[in-house]
Amino acid sequence: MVAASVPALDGRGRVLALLTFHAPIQRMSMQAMMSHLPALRRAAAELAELV
Amino acid sequence: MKDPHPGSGTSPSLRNLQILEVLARAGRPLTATEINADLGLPKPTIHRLVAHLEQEGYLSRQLDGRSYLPGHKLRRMMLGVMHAAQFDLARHDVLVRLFESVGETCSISIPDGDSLVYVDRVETHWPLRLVIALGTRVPLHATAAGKACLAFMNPGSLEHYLRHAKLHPIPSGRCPAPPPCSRRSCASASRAMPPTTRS
Repeated sequence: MVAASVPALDGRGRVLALLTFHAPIQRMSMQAMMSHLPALRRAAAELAELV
Repeated sequence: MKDPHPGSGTSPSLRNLQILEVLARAGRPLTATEINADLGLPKPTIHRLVAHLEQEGYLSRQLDGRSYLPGHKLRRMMLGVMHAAQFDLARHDVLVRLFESVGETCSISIPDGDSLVYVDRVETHWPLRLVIALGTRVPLHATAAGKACLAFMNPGSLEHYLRHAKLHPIPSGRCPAPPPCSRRSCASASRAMPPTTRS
């Protein structure tokens, strides 16, 4: 299993929520997981803006 | 995973909600006895609860005088709930777009004390997948989201957590146990966060 998680933070840097994806290692290598980090960070920033 | 008798063994404060839940699921008028088939409460209890809910407008009696339907208050509540769902929609949309880019299960969780609660998810289409029901609580130390959460905890709370948390390994089949979190791993994770998403 690989999993990556990025927090959506409020203006004061406190964690509002966590955005995560996970996959079996058979389907997603660690390297492939890292390649999705920019998308994950973007989504977390969008999530933070909704609050 | 469905508990055949949600009424037995759960908190009495949830019983009224469970009655409404049974009725909503059935989608037709039900007698107190029919409602209780799912809940398994003592007979006098179910009759008292149902009568009280009717008195307060959460249930209304059918013409046959024996069975119940959702009352005007419950219908109004439902409209409010559906209306509030538009706030969920934007949140869910973020998740859907992330899923489209990643192609694997994506979820949103919220920290609550020393655990995390899953509040929304988009499941992967692959047959091999790990499914965790919404509302499930998982410990901070053994999940990716929990570790990210610890990395951004204020130093006082983190110190308290590390001193008191019970860091039991979580059995996960053939997967090796995840490395335990430490002050150092928390600090390095929070440094890895780009400044744009930090503010």
